[in-house]
Amino acid sequence: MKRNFISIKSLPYLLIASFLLLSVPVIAHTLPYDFKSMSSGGIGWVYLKMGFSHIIPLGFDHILFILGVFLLKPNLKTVIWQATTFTIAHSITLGLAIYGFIRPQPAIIEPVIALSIIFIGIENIITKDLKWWRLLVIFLFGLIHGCGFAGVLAQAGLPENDFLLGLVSFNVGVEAGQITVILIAYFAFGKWFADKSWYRKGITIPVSLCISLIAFYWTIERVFY
Amino acid sequence: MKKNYIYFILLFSFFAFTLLIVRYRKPDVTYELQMRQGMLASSSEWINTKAAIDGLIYKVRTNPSDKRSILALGMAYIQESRISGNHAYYDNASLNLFEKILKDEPENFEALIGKATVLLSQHHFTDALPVAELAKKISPHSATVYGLLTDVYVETGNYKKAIEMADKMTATRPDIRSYSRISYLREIFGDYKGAIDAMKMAVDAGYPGMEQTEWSRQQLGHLFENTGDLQNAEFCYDQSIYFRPSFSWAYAGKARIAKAKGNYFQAIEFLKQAQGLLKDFSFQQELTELYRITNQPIKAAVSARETITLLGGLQGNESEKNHGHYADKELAYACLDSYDYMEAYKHALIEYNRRPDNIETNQVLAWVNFKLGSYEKANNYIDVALRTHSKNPMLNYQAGLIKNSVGKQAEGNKLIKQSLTLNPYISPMLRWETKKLIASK
Repeated sequence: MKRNFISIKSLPYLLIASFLLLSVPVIAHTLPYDFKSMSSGGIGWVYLKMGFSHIIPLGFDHILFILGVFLLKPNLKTVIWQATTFTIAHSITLGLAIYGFIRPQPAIIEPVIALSIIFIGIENIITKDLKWWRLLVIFLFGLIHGCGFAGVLAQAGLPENDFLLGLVSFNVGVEAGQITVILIAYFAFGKWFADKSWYRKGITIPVSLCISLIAFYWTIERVFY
Repeated sequence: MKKNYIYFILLFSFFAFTLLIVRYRKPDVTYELQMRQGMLASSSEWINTKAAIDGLIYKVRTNPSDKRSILALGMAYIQESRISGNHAYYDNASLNLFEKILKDEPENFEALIGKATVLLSQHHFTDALPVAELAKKISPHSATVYGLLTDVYVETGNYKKAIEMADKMTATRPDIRSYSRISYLREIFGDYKGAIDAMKMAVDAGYPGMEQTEWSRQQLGHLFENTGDLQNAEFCYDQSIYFRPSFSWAYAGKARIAKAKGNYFQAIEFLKQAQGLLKDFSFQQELTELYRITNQPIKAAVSARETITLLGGLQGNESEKNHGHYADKELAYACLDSYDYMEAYKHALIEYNRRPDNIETNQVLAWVNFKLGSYEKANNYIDVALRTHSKNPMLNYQAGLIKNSVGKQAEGNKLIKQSLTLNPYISPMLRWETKKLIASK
């Protein structure tokens, strides 16, 4: 029997492998704009793009997290609910950090973000069903990821006169990036294989395992190097 | 049920590992940026500074081996130290950052420059010398190194070497930093006209509104003040306020002008404005004097104690570990203001033992001895203080009083006359001191 080089089942593995190659988080953001001469719409667009690009293509860790959330129950309604909970949570900490109420330490936040991805991956392996507390866990992790986003904004800075606009636009960009990841995953395999009997053994468990392994690598890298 | 149990273990493990990470990656508190207060915090310059420093902190925390960012953060903290006046905190913070680099690269030129700059700011002059010398060995044509060496030699009283270094610095790079050093050296050697010319060149070489430029401009104002030219001095302070409205030293200058003109309550208001911008002991010290002049003894006593507290804060607990500021010369004057002469003597002596050849150190020890009634000792120290023939009106006036106290009236009166001819607006407190001396004779 002729064997395909790339079978449909191996696609997720290739996808995950590509993350390993791109496992260095990109954090450098500079904004070469003169905000004083820009309209509010222009400023909003700049920050929206920055929020989006912090998920796609720069936010490999956030992409893996969203993918992990998606894998357990890949129907759009459930996943978008979880993603919205995540967004509400990260907006809270991002806002608190930007306004100076909390001062997240990247040296702690970045490895904990990686830990949260390990958690989601393992959870997908040990549980079959979506439990109510999953939303609570995602909310908690959203708070942690929000502290990570704050670092990006701290580096880039926010325009003096359009502080809130910049902050909200950045959040909208992040949410748009997350929804894009969900839609890509949905149309790549969720829509077609979620109902298959082999979906859990063939996709959820191995991909979640890969996600956890990558996140484990990041945790070690971020703690010790 | 079993799954729930595993889930609980998973959740517990997450929190346990998070705690471990928090313990292991506990942030270095020396990286924190301190919030500015009052008018200093409302300037757009602060918003840019904060964004830049937050960005650098983020880079350093994310990648602790990013030497470029560590250096940039250390340098940014040196500047923030000057602007906010929070030397006790920022000098330690930047020193830690430079030490971090020097631990791996003992001959990193920028880190050596940074370290020597901080040590000078902390008044650890003798400690700064080997660091600056090493930097000179690595880069013998750097004007910055010669600037640092000039400061070290001035502060340790090796004025001949200081001139040599300043000349090399100016030959290598004539700019605001080299001209201002030349100016200070000329002032020390009694050439006020030359000092004013050099400081004018320094101001012209800087960009108006920058902290360094306005610092030089207020120094120019001070030189005019010392020569009795209040009009030009006031013009300098007004210009500084125009270019940099949050520049506290210019308000302090305006206060001295008001005091010289006899407008004491206006002077107090100017000093309060300066204090609102920057908590510096020298403003408090001048307030003490003004409260005394305006016959407010309780306020004067409280203010005098406050000066000591501010200076004590500078030294802090770190002084024991040799990382705090040496502020004994300033503490000696502050203790004199509190009439605590023995404590003043102790501090003056500590400072003297650190740098026995410096003229200002000899001046303070002479003055404390004069206050204690040890006139012969005072005379010996003031002779050392006068050895560069400085025409500083305060120094000459004090020297005149000391000479009078040891029976050298002719010499003493000549010095007092010279002081008053140069600057007729000498402090009323010193004039009272004169009356007291004449009455006791």
